[in-house]
Amino acid sequence: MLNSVERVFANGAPYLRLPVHVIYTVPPPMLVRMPTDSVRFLPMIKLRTWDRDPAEGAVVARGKPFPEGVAVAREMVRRRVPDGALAEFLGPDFEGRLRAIIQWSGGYPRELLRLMQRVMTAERFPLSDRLFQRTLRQAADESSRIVFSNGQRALDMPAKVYLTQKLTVDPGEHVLADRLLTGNLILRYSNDKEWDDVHPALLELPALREAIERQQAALLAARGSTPPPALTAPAPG
Amino acid sequence: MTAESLADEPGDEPPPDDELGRLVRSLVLSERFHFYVAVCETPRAADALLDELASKLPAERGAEVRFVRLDPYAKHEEFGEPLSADEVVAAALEPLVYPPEANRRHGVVHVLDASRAAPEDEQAFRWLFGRMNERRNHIARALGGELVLLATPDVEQLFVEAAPDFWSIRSDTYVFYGEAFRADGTQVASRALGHPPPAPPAPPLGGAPEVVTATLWPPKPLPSGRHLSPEVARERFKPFLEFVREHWSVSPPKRPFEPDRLPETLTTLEELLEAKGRGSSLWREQVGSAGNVRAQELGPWPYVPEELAEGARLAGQADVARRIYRTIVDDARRDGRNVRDGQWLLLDAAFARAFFSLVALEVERGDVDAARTLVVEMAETGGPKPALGQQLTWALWLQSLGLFYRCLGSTESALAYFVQSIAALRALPPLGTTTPELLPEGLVLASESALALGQAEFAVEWARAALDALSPRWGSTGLWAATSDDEVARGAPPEPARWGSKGPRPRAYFPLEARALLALARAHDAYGDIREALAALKRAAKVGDSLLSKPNLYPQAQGLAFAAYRELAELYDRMGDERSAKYYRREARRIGLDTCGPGDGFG
Repeated sequence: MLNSVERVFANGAPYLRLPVHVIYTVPPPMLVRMPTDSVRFLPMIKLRTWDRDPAEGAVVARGKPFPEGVAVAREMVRRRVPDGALAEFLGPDFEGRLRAIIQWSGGYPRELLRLMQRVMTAERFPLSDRLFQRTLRQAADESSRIVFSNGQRALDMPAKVYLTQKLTVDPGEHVLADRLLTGNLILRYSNDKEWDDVHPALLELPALREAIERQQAALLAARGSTPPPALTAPAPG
Repeated sequence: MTAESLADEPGDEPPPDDELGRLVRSLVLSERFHFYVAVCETPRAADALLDELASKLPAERGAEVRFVRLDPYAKHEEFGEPLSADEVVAAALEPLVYPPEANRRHGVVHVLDASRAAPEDEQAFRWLFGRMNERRNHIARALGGELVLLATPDVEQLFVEAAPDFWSIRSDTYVFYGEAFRADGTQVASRALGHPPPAPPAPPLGGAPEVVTATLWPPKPLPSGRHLSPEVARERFKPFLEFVREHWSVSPPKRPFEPDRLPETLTTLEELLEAKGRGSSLWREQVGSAGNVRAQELGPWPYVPEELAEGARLAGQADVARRIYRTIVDDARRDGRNVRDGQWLLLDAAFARAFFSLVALEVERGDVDAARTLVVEMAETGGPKPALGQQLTWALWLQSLGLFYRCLGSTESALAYFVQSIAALRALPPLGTTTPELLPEGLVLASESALALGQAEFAVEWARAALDALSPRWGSTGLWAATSDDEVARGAPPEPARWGSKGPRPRAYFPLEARALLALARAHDAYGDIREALAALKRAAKVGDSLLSKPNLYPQAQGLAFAAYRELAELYDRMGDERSAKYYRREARRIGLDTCGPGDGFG
């Protein structure tokens, strides 16, 4: 499918220039396949800041929540589910749990709404802690199935994105990049510049965390620095 | 709780929440087009899921619901030939894009069944999903009701790749592991009510006289709260014992045990045994899986030596395992007079299981005389305590007899005893955490024996029943532990609501699952159903392979994975698919086993 899109927009570009204003939408992998400044990206909602080693530039820890982004995501939920109903579904600490859900969505609106739908089809309300955690984890399972069906390289690529915040695709890795982008496992954000990140659910995978630590250690060793402490799974919220 | 903590052991992975219930609730709440993905590991699970939906959804919605099942294979008659584009269009694409007027409304649920997708049809499904992706908006408008995609895990990934936009508008994904459903839906319904699954139909037994005689003597449980002394319990076993002595005959074993090449992982066993010899009759240590003492406290002592013995057996230290099992049997007899009521069941379970394991060990190495002595001794002893414990001993005694007869080469008698042991095990209430794998093991043994007798249909049934019993929905520790030993000892019935609870699957389930899958595959193969055989073998290989990284399960996993890969290669050879056969031969070589070990389920 992506090959067809690429053919249309690369080879057929002259025919697409109609004498009226036209907006064409293309899937995210096209950004990697045909990098061009003329494609404007609809980014995910930025939910976190990042702590970087000022000397080395590599990411050393997940940062704090980004309040403006979280507020936007919270508003999306508020317009669909009133607070009273949220308390019924999520319990008295519904704001805390909602923050966790928002962070798990990675700022991808469809994911956020899907998670909310998942919450609402639970058997009992309000959700117990265990059931709530399981609901989030089940959402992550879907992502992990995509990763694990694509082998070790599907771990190395997100690990590199996590550390550099940039998706770079080597020759021969386009198919894998397509899969990770279409599966929304690598998300693109934008503020003053565009940057990439891995879906937060993926960071729950021990194998990915190992790949990140390995690459981080290699990166720092190459620069003669001390490796940072071991990476831990992010706590929701 | 993090994924890391859950991923430590395969058995620690909690099953998904009530996926069927979630899917039903989603469909009930839906009022327009929604797209759901139901990942079913097998076509059979997909069939059963659809049956469940058809039975539950109308009642939950309070309105008529019509299901339109779109099966690309519905009119595909050329087995072995890939699906054609025409077939895919006629069976799936047209009804979605141009549904008849009667199907363009809420209340009609379209189900696209891709659970049967075969590897050779990948291109056809990729093409179908690609066209669906292009027409997703049209399909959403045309249907008016919901669309459910039934897919295997592989097909799910194919859909993500070929129809990324359609996939992105899914409302949710539901995963149905294992063989949690039966085609007629009765299994799920009966579980929901808290009852054990019904017994599979008994095979023709050929009128073996010993079977008729044995069924005359199942010990009856006493009313709750009353216990017989061990002496009286032994009296109750006497007719049983006489029957054994009267009917027994010995002939050479069917095949000798092939020693496996296993790593020695348990190094502290001898020390622990010595410590036990010096200490009191009750174990006071909590011992970890690696044999390290974690805490000094009075725990459920029978678990500890059993775990050690099982570990030794898995590690190929049969002599050590034999010694520990023997110690358990002897201690259970001695300690039986001293322990509190609440511990009776633990003693009984330990006693029965240890005896059974001893018989299995002797059978594995083909020592018929030793096995015979043990079975007689087991019948003579009758367990340290009556009632439920005696019932358990009875059930495992029958299973031991089955093993013994199989070792002799009398498969028909073996099968008859396995069938009786299954019935006896099903009659038991939950007995704590030590017993849940006994029933699936019995079912696997029955399946293997039925297959050896050429009864492929029964072999399939029993293998499926074993997989059902091992499925996360049913065979979880949480389920079996729902009623505590103390409660059972007091005669408390299992609470229906708690029977439905879930928890991590015990570690021992995974090799059993692979064995059941191997048995299922062989039965399907014998039945001529190559497609199902391939699917089962691939799952068996996957389970076995995934266990190779677990040192304490390595020996079994090695044998199981090797057998699955080898048989996959043979099947593909027979089908003329040299490329696939070569691949699986390479995988078998990777496992690095020339002959199968005992984990292969005796070949």
